[in-house]
Amino acid sequence: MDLPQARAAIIEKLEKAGTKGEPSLATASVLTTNQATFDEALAALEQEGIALVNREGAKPKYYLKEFAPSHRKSILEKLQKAGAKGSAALYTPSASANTRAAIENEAALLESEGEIVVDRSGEKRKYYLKSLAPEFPILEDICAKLEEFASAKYPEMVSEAELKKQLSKAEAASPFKRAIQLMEGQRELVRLRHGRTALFASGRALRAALGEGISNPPANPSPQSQPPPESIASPDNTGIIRQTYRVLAERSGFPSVKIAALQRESGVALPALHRWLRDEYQHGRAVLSFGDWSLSDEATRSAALEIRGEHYLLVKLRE
Amino acid sequence: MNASEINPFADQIINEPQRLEAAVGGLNDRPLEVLLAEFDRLAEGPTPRTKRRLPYAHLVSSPQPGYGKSHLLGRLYREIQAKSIFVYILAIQNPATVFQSLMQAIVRELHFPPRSGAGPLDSEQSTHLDLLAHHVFAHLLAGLIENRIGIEIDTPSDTAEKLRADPLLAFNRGTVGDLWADWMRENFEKLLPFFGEALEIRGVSLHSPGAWLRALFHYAWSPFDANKRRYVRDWMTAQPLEQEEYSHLGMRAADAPDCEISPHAANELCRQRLADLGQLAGYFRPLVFCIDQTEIYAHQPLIARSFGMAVAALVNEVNNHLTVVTSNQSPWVERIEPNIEDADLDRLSRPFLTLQGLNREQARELVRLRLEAWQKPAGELTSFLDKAWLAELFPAAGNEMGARHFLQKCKERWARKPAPSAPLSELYQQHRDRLLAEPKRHLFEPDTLQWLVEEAALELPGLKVTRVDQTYFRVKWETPQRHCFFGFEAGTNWKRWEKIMKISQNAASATPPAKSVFFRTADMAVLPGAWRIADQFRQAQASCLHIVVLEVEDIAELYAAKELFADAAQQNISFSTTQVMSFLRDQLAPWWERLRGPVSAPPTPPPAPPPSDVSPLAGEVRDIVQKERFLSVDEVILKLSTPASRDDVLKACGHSVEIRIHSHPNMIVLQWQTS
Repeated sequence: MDLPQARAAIIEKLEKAGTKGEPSLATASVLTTNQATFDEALAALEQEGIALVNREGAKPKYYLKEFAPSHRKSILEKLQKAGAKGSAALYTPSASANTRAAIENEAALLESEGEIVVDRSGEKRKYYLKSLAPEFPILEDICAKLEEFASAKYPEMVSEAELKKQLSKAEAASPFKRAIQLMEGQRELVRLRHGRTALFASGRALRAALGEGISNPPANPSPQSQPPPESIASPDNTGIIRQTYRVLAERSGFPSVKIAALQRESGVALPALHRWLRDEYQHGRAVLSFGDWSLSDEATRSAALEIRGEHYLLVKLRE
Repeated sequence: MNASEINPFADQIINEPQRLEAAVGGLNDRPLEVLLAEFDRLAEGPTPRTKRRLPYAHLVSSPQPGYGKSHLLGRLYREIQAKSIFVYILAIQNPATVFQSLMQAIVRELHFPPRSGAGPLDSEQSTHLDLLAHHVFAHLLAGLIENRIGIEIDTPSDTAEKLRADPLLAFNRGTVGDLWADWMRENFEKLLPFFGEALEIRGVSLHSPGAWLRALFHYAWSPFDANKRRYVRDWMTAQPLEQEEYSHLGMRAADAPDCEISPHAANELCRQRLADLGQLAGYFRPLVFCIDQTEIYAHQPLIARSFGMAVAALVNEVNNHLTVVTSNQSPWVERIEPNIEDADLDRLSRPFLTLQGLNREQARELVRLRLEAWQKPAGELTSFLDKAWLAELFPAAGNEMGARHFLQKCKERWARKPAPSAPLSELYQQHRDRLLAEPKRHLFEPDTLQWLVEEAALELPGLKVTRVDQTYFRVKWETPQRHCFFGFEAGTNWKRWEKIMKISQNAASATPPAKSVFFRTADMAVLPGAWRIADQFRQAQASCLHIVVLEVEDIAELYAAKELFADAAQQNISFSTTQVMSFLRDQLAPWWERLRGPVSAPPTPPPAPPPSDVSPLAGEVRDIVQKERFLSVDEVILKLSTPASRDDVLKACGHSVEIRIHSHPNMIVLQWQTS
């Protein structure tokens, strides 16, 4: 049997095997040909994409391309079946390490192609078909709801459980903690303690009551569109800026924070913040760094501090 | 221009952390102390320390490029080089084989002697792996003697103590006539079950204990058998072995990777090997993995994800090691971290180790060190460090400035004019010159080569590049004339190469025809070996199987391309990655043509230079530079007793860690520097 005949024989056998695949194709006895010709024909078919070899198991298994099991197909089918509930696992616990790796790689590809959606907000990931994925609660919407509730309750303080009750089941699930964390960082909620119990108050209401006159910053303000309120350049800003800096540095894990983020989250107007930073820099209490201009968005760039003609995006504050 | 006219502040980037450079006192001592304390947790107390594991890897970060990440790695290296296995790991390229890439980098390092500035491979010197093997066997044997398992001896405690005190002296690399070396050779197979028992007593649980012990034994007891030692390295990196090869190591078929092993399976095997190596390192020295240039992952989300997973796996699965990752803050926060799973990020210690800039006093110190290193008169320091100038840069004593930014300001002040960045061609040439003097970079680096044909070639005109996931091939080029399949095979398994040959022959008759391209470095075994298919293989080489053998000069040329790109990704230079890619498309044009063109006749392998050719030149260059402190390569050539080329001199510099290389447009200056 020559090479073309060996090719034809392999194709015929794989056609018969269909989606089950053929594990014993490698034995010469299947074909009346010598092993070298057989190997050569098989390698050529593999190279041409006509035959596929699955090597995830202990032994290889051979398929015609159209019958080969595709992780892509099985993932999509599984998620189609799971519907809006999604699926927490794409493989069974008994799957081999090779199979797991192959499935995870395929899932990552599908995610990057926008075919599937992965919810990572919980302790475990959950996979959905893009078209069937539920509307994931938007963090900003949750924050807005909680802020509205805490403001309405002021001067009464609210517990975490009360805050949670304001949300739907989906909202109150995993993103809740992150929402609280974010709001504390942005000073929309202020955490207070009564004994061992943590209670929250609306930051906006508190500031109004204290007569600070600083409204909460809009979600994504253009730093340069802020009016330059001279009153904010008062020494009082030091506390706000430093407190905000600490929250930002702790959240990111880096002591250098974006000046844009410091402005946004402190609520201090940019010109006032720049003046304050210049002063701190002159006294050696602020360390400025360039950051990465090419990776920064317009909001970050427009908050840069200019000194000696050089533009700094990041600042580290010394205590 | 002569060497004394070189601007002392021109050199601002550290690309080779192990090379010596004086450090400014107090600068970034804290992150170094943290890393040293972590290392001490692994290294303190007597060996064996097989079960130590650190809970976290460490991220060393700086808020902008040029704060001294690589410099810090260099300082860490100098502090622990004599008590660690220090592995410097550059960017990986294939997310599917990340553990194999790590293991390849580790094994490359293990096959070098531990002393700093070790030159090209020299079988006279013990490598890290030799020492590891000696320590493993000394401790295992001592344990058997002390516990009277399988061995009865009159003076058990004395003997065990001597074995443990100096394993290299005890076994002497298997030298015939040495008592313990001979005894081990004769009794090794009988001792294996007992060694296995001794490992268990220590709680060491290897995936393949017998194979590991055989591999270590045959490596250490065959210091001059390059083939056998290569089989061991191939086994460690999950390269398939032929029956004859694994038989030489006393292994069974089940111990050696199958010749058709898939990339995924090889990767999984390397993950196991890494975990095993970590346990074995407890008998010798802790492993230290320094993963640099991660900014490259900012351009490759899938690799960033795999990288995060690999770091987490190292922490979770590998004993006796410290992983240090470096990154600039912005690429990390904006592009890398978002692609890494939260659970994997949790394996990084917080807060991150962040680097500081120079304060006024440290800036003064850096200037002093630079001027002294270039032997400038003492008076120059006073006039250079004008108070008003320093006060402008550092209004208060506490102000900080990144070291590279300050050096740039010094460079301009020294030149008394703005100092524009060197053009890309010059930066590229600097990398090429430096790589010539780095013997550890003269080896086969599949990730670097894959980056070259996959990323650097991406926008070449008339060429479509795709990544393929096949057993033997990783990248495919499509041109109107032909398709080119690139593979990165480090091994010499003839069955595997036979498959490759047949696939290549078959593909050659397709439309358009295809060829396969494989890179090999000059230190690797020549293909084909003494195979029964050798004649067929040579025929294939002439038509469709393009084996590109890279000499050291070629390697320096190709690897320099990746280094230049890494510089741009890290913002070490003022060119973007896009500009670098555009430059490389032109710079490497002859390479692109060669790789996409028809297969040329296989070159006859050059005769291997006798080892004695290298050492005298290295010694002579070292002596000249040490005496003169700094001089140009051309001046060195004039002083040599025998003729040598510029590249020969640079390669000879690879023997001396004290020699720093400064490339300038019209000259290359060699500088003697000690810490």
